[in-house]
Amino acid sequence: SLSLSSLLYAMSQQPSPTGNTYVFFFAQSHPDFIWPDFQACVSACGVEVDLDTAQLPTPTSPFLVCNLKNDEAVLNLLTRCVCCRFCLQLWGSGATIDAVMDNAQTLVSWKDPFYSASSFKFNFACFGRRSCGKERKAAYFKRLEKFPFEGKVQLENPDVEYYILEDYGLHKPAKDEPERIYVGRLVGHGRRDLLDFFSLKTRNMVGNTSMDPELSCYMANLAQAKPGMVIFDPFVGTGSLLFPCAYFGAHVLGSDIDWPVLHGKGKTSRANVQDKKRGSHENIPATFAQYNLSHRFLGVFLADASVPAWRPTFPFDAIVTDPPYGIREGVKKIVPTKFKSCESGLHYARSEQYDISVAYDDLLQFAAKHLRMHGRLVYWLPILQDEDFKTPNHPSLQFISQSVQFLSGRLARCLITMEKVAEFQPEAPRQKVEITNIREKFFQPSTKGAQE
Amino acid sequence: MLLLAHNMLTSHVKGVKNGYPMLLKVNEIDEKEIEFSGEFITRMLPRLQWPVLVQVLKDIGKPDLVPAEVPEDAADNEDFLKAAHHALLELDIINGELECPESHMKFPITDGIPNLLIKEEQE
Repeated sequence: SLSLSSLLYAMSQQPSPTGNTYVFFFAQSHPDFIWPDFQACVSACGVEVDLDTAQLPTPTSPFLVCNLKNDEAVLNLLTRCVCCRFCLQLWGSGATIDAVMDNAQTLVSWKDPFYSASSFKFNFACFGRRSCGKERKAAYFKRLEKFPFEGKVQLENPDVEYYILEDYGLHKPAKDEPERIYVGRLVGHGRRDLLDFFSLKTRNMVGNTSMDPELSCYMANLAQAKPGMVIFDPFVGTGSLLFPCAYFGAHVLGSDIDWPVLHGKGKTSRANVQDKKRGSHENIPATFAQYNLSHRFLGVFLADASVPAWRPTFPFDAIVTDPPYGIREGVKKIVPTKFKSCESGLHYARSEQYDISVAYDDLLQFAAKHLRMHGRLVYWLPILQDEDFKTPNHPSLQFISQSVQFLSGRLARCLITMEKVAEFQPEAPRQKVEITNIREKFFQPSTKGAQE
Repeated sequence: MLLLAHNMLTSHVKGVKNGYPMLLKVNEIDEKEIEFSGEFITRMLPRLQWPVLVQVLKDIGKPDLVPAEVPEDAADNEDFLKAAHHALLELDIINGELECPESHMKFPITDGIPNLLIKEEQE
């Protein structure tokens, strides 16, 4: 309806002196990644979020209540917020049905002036429980009858959708009563759709260690991928990390030491393939084409990450990478064993295990040298669940955030984001990066296990 | 390999002091159509070595695709930005060779992918 859309537009443009209160409901698949992803989106979109009085999400309560200027700011944020399920303009919250409805009823008329002018429907969502059940729904509807809605209920394509969102917390067994209830108008959904869009099941090319699409999208946000940027992955593999970066507008390129992967040859990682070979579509350019992102693909290069061939005066805007750490894919580099003069160009090369501390030290040095100022390095570091680890540091790179993902057994990995804050100085004193040799430890019995 | 990438690459042969730009020989070139973004080209201009692009276009037999110098009004000059876009992003070197200008070590380009590994016993 014309009147509604113009009203919505007027609302979204109208600066409110105090801002409006919104509640973001986040997905729970990677709780440790929610806050870094949200903050990265806030900074990438240049949106102002008032967090002074905000209630922040925790692993047991994936909700954020905060003030933003208007709907437009929320919608801007939601264009890339992968961790968010949806966001409501909050009418009210409370611990019981009566409390939340009293609260909403007093606030709704001045907070949300277009509720009366349109067709609408009510949705229910729960955290910590599958559904709130018929009886509670009936109790909500009984209270909603008292609300002065002028529009009619319309289940298909309503003008406006409202939500009753119940937080039962994480308890086993689930609690009967929610800890908190939110009521409000749906402003928009986050980008959970990208998980399907980039699904490994439908992707042309995958490898044994292709990154999960959700985590790849988080990396693109942490790297602040945007139009006009050039983003590089020095351990590109099958390209997983580059697709979301390109989706968010960056131009991307990568290098790897693995000839068959870059050329789309060798064994496929797909099950049930007859001759076990990669098909003609199982390569990186074809996968960019599959996602309609060929125009942002700058190429792949067969190269050794320990000997970069990039001109440092052409800075990268971000570096995203998942270095191989030797459990499912080996860490390799080419070393000249017999080196004569360059003039004769005589070299012998062999591939050898790349010491993991040296690999990460090289990566940080590379980033410090090749990133533009305030460009970001986003990378995975393997860690052991039962051992403390030290986040690598570098005089040119400032720590931004880290999130841990637990893998099988003792293994975990940490996604680290750093930002270049000082020019690279080759002679600057620094502590070399020292990383636990995960490969060595991984194949040893856990000391914790041995004591039990 | 795109000519934008050629502009970004430098020789990494150990001991080489002046390895930029890499020499380029082309056996097969693919011309493709890529969605134009003036914003991207404008953002790349300060990072590019423009004379290197002009020279490599000559070397591969495509001279005069771009002017010898970046015009002052580059950001608003759509004809120029489109020409730069074509030169940087629409010429794909499928088969050829990069060569270190100092050590003369050669790096083959096959199926569009440069092999930058320092190879065994190269002459």
